[in-house]
Amino acid sequence: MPPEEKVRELLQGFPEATIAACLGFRQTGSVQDLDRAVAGIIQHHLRTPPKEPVASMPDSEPLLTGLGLDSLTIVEMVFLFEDLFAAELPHEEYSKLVTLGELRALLRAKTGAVAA
Amino acid sequence: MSGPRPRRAVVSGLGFVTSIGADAAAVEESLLALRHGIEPFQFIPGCDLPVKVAGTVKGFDASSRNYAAWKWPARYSFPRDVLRAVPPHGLYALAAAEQAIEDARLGREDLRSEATGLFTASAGSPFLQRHVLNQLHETEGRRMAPFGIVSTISGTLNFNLGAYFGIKGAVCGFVSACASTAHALGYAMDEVALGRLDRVLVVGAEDLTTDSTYSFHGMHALSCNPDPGSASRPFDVGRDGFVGTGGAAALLVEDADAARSRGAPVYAEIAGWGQSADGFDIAGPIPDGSGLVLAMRRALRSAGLGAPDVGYVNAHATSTVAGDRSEARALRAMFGAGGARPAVSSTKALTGHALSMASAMEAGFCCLALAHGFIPGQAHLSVADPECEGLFLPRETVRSNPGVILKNSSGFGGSNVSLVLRQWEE
Repeated sequence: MPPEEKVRELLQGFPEATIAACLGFRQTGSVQDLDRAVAGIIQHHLRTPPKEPVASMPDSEPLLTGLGLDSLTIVEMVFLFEDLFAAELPHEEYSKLVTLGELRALLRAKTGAVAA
Repeated sequence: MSGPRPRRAVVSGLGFVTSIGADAAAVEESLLALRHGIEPFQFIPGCDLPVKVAGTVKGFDASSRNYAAWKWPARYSFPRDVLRAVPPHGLYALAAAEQAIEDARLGREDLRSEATGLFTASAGSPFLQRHVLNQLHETEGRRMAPFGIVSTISGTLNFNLGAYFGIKGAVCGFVSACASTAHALGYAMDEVALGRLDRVLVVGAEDLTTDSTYSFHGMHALSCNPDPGSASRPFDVGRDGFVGTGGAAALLVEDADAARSRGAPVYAEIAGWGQSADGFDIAGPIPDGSGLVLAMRRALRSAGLGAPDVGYVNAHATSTVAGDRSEARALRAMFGAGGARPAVSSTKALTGHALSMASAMEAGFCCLALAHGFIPGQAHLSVADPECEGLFLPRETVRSNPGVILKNSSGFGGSNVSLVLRQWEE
């Protein structure tokens, strides 16, 4: 992951808790911190506040029909994930994502996150 | 047998984000005091460029390519999913539009009515587009910002404001360079007068950036005078080019009955307009000003008025030698023969030249002048160009109602527009 200043620059305007989760993942590399960071980033991109925090949503939650994301917003987030986690997320892979769980799994795999 | 009463188009809401103020009250104060908004400005930090001043946008900071770093007055609240797709001038446009809507006491449901349209103009955002395209090339085509098109191309205001306000009646953009928002206002008047729409929100906005503004130095159109107090001096013999500015202006053009039924203020009536084309050059105006004369004549004829009725001309004059001379000749041809001698001034001396938003901003100034009874003076005029012989260029703001104003605008390619704004009378 990039240095802390770069993380803060990329996440300008995001809630401090999300920034902290990203910085936490930077230190621990743990799945738990990654999931928290990803949930915070997704939540920040939602047009309307979700019915419950994204972090506590089940893996089965659909990205489009459930969370209300659109394809452009997903691309916007993918670029941010790539910069934050120094990972490459090819279009062929992220364009097939349907659920929150699939996104979580893809990012865990790409970042090499480990269970704490 | 008499037909239905003709519909009259009035301006019932105003919004400003400009170099001389970020709301109508501040703008009016500056116009009355002839206080300019021009400051030292570094187009490329660290470089000693020959152009050293600009009409800076007050109360906003949209200098970053990242919208999350932008700053704006606390009275506004713009959601992230709106800001992510707008360029710097989109932020200004949203704020100016919110002001005009609030001023006109217009509800969100009125905006979403099929009777409400949106006409806009801007040059797009070369600044943001540069960053987006650089990224595209640097990543060998792998990275193209998902909102890179809609946030940068000419039309970005249509897309963004139309969606944000839920406009259903009409959304249309105008591209005639520095006459763009004059065209937008003219056609807005027509839409209202013809009964196709009850109201049109007209918004003009521009970035103030190296890319949008300093690029005019390539054609030596910008002033190299480093003094903010005299760099923009339309009609003065010492002028050497225009001073760039950005920001936004919004006017609600509305059927008079609809405005009054809601208790909205009526600043002025748009009584007519005219347009013409020089057919002469891609950039400069025809030297004798004949194109602009034709636009002014057509404007007055459409309003059922004559040259002696005009109390004030808000000139296009940008402080370039060729442009100011052409307009001065046009004004002499228009008013000289019949003995009419309206006051003439270019408020660009105070603001700088706002390109496609200039006409909307200056028409807004004219609305304030007609509603509150004043004629903006010609600031920064020391020695008038001999071509101005016979023109009445008041050095100070005059506390008197001009009654009828001609608002002139000219753009690249010889596009001319003249709007007739009249003091509202039942």
